[in-house]
Parts: sequence; structure tokens; C-alpha cells
Amino acid sequence: MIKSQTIGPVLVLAVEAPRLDAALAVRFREEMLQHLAEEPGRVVFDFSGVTFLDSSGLGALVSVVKRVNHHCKPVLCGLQPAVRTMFALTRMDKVLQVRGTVDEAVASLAAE
Amino acid sequence: MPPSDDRPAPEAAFLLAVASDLENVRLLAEAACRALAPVLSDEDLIKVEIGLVEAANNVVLHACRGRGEHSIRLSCLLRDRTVTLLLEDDGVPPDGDLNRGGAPADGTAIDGAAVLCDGTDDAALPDGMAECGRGLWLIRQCFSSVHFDSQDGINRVWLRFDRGA
Repeated sequence: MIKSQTIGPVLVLAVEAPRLDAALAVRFREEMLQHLAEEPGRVVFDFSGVTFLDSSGLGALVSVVKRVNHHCKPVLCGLQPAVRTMFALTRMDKVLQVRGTVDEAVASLAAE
Repeated sequence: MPPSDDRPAPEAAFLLAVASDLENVRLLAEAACRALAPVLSDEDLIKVEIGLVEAANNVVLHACRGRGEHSIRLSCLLRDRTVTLLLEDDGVPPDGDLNRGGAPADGTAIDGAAVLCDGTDDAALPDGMAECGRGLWLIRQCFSSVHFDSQDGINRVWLRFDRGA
């Protein structure tokens, strides 16, 4: 479900699950935390492969962010329309850092 | 594309029945989106899908206790500018007196259904870093009104969406 790659100093985790919902939320959280176990300092979560996110998926994402907050502040990118709507409704776009593309997200972290 | 008011609106359409499993909520959402795509804008369709998925998740997790041994039915009614989705399940009725509310205004539900929200709800959004607790809040945000009733072993939730509201 998670594909990882490193771009310069940034770890990019691409979520490859078209529907990140209650049926997948637990597995998503576990896989993300496995990829983040080595505590990378700069991380991008690429959501371009996610076309729908429900509150369980959002809760799992928040859980992941809270678990890694002590060593990094992930930047999200690639939000599709339904995911953007979920972020807007829940105001997560004000809580989490969101960029348009992987390149923009990586650039924002590389500049830090 | 915005919805066209020139299209004939069917009185009612049964969409799907599935076993009460979280994996099947996706099937309900996809059936609703297919049925409503010709009459809802993309933006409205997203809100309906989000609200329906949250409501169906609640049915599976609470009324059906997360087990797949119950069934969930989804129907859709179109009337003028109102879309009403009806979720029915044969799971456990909720505790309390949810079935003592008022009847829904559009007449698509039976008398005595409880009003879970009527568009005047001002419940607070859960904390941004909360890991749960957004489901019911989202249902209230996505629909104009929500009614609930439980009779004769069937729980029913009516989710009303006013197009272009």
C-alpha cells in the first residue's frame, strides 16, 4: 500500500490505495509507521493515488503524524478532489502542511 | 457539470443490498455515486459520498457490531431538488429514545423518525489532532437533514441532500 523513495534528503511515501477508508485504516497506519521507524527528518506523504478518504482514514493519518511529530513534520501533497474536500470540511488543511505536488513538497522541505 | 433540472427525476430507486462488512461500504458508495452522477455536481457528489460512507460505517460498526452477519440496503429517492438516501439494516437498535423525534419535512420517511440533524446543528468540530470522533460531525456537514427510526427489527436512516444548497 505504501511505496517509498528518497529524493535528496527527503523520504517520500506514496500511498497507493484508491480508497483510504475504515476497511484499510489500520493497515495504512501500521505500514506507514513501519516506513517511518528509522525516524527520517524530512518526509513527504504523497496522496496522489488516493481518490477517497473517510474519517477513519483521516484518523489513521493523524495518528501517524502524531507518532512522528517528535522527529519530523510531514508535508502532504497530491490531494485529489474528494480528499481536498475532506481536508476542507475538517479543516485539516489548516493543521497539516499541504503542497500541490511531490516536487513542491520536497522543495519546501529541502529549503528548511 | 452542474445538475440539469430538465431531467426526469425517478420517484425511487433501490440501489444495493450488501452484507454488513466495512469492505462493502465502498460498494454502497459506488452505487450511490453512479446513480446520482447525472443529477449532482461533482462537488455535491463528493459531499454525498463522504456523508454516506460515514453513515454506513456507523451502521456496520455500531448497529451491526462490525460483523458481516447482518444486511444493509441502500435506496435513493429523488424529488424536485432533494436527494434522499435511505440506509436500512437489521442490526441492533440503538439504546435510548432516538425513535421519538419528529417526522422529516419532505415526507419521504415514516412518522415518528428521530431528527438527528436538521441543518441548524452547530456541534463543534473535533480537535484537529483527534484520531476519531469526526464521523457524525461529517454526516451533519454533508446532509441537510438526517432522520432515524427503528421499528420491527429494521433500523432506518434517511440522509437528505438539498441540491445546490
